[in-house]
Amino acid sequence: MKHLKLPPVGVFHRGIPMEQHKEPALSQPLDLLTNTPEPLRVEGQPVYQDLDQVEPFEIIRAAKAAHIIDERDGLPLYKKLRACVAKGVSIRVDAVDDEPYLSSQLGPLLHFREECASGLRLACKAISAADSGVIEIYRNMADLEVKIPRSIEGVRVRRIGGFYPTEIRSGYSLVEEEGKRYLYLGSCALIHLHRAVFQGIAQTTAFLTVGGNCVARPCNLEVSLGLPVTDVLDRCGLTDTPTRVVVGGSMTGQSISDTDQALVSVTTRGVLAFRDKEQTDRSPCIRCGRCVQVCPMGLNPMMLYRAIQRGLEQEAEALDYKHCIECMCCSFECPARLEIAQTIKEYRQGRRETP
Amino acid sequence: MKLSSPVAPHIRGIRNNRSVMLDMIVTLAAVYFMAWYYYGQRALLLGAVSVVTCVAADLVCTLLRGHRPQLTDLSPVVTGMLLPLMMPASIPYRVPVIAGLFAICIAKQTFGGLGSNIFNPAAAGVAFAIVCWSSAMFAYPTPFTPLETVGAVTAPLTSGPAYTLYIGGVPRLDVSTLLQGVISGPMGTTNVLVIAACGLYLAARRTIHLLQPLLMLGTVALCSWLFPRGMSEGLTAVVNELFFTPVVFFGVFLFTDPVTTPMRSVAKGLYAIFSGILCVLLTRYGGYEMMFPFALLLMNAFVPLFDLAAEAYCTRERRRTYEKAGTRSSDDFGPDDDDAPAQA
Repeated sequence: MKHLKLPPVGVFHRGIPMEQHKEPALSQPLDLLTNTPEPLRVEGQPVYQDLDQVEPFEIIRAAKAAHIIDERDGLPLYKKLRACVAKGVSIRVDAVDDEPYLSSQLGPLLHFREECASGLRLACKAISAADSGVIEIYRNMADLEVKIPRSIEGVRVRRIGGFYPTEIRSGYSLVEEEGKRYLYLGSCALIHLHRAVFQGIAQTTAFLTVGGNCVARPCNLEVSLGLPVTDVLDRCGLTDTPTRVVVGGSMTGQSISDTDQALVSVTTRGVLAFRDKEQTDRSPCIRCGRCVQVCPMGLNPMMLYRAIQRGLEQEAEALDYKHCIECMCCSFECPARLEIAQTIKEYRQGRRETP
Repeated sequence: MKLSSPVAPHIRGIRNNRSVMLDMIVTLAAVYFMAWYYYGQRALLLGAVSVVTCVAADLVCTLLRGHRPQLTDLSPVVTGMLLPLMMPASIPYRVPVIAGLFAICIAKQTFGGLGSNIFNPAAAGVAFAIVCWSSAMFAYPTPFTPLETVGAVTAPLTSGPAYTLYIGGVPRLDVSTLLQGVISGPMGTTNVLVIAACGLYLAARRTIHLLQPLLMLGTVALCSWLFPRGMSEGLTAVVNELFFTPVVFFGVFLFTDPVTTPMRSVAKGLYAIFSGILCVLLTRYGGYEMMFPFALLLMNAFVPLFDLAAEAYCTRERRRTYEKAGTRSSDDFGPDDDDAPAQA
């Protein structure tokens, strides 16, 4: 169960227009990096031939047997589907990817169009969806070499506008808008659903983007779960010794200290290697208010930062620290390079552990 | 591969404190160019003396406070450049030096240095100079008269149109001198068009909030249109107020100082309107022809109030929106019972 996250709200619709850096990874062919010669078959799982043969409950059963995890929120796919059966819910396919460098949902979607559309049809049938679903793709990507089609295999593509934390801001996976309910499913989970039902294959891989300013050949990869990050980086090559390797996105990802110990998991969206100059000079906050202007939740990160640093718990409570969605926008914008977002994030974790 | 493990985010914006200060320095350099054009090398030398004083004072005070000095910190340069621009070009060199020392040592460093000062250092320095040397501060040389670069000025000094306005008269100047800024006044504040261009540049670079000077100058213009000073009426009163007093310079460079303004846009707008009203009141009923530094210092004292009020308002609005949105969405897909029938 994820913590409190909210959909975009009128006046607080802020954020940062970001350079996306999706090329060249997105236009490269999507390769397979695996440590097993054969994909893992699910024991006792029947292989269906086409959509008419398979019953709705069998789709959910197949998703469960294949252990498909939605990369969007880390929840099992069968649970998400089962909770929405016959409730008039529509499906939205999440291929937003608005974090710079990442194209781990968009890339597989464009590469495995048929599988993804078929997975969507399966999911729609499984929950008796209200309509045939929509694919959501981020609009503000200027540097793309590939063209985003208006529809993919007959499924309508909706372009989502807005500044950076669009995907995190949409937050919840089950959303009600204007009286209609929508279930968000990751595009990679749908590809795995197609494979589970029509090929009887369990989910043993994750789609991820390899990128960053010292990766020789940035690309999207389908990687076996449990492979160390070192292997992934070796596959794409390094032009320089990186100073930080990030598992996840460039804004929210976790930087790791040992690439042999870090393993690829189901929710790994990217492996990024950066070489950047060490920030040595520390300047104080000049109260410029940029963090306040960009905060998508309308919080005051600077006041929160000061309250937390001085140990004022009541003030932090009054400033709604709980509503932080950890999009890291405030740290990105801060001209004094203060670790505002990290401080708030650590404080939230500390408070969750000691209620 | 062993790496150090820094925290997210792993990419950062291009702006830093240094570039914010550099923006200010670039625009102030343009104002200095105009000052050099009107008054010759003395204007530049005044600026240089003031900057050196402020940087040295900042360095010494930082060391005295027991902190490591930051050589990349350009804020004392900005303070030093601002100070002489609000003084006549004929001012003796000791005045900007002492004003700079007061600005840095008393108004800035005693409160904890950059980011912690309550009062704008440059405004405090100028206010100090006005109180101590009011006769020297308000006697201006005419533009384009040659001034001695070093030593006392022998050229005749006059009072400016700001003084005429202050005593209730109507200054008579034609439009071209007005637009060129060839007016007896403080050496950097008379060329309103250059200052407005600087303001636009700063707003485009998001170093200042455009709303702030617009609202503040708009309030001043509106007040002087409704309640003109002296004999002038209507639009003439507005033009007189904006072009003959240094209000545009203060509105663009001093009332927008990030350290001493509120943080939220709502509060910034309110702050600008209130400071406009206070400026009008003080120029009318104050004891000097230039009351803007005093108005700014007075407003600075209320910044925490503006911040708190805006925060309370925004928190209330935010929570209301959250409540509305929170009931419509969830991430809860039932318990983790794997034995439950798949058909549900």
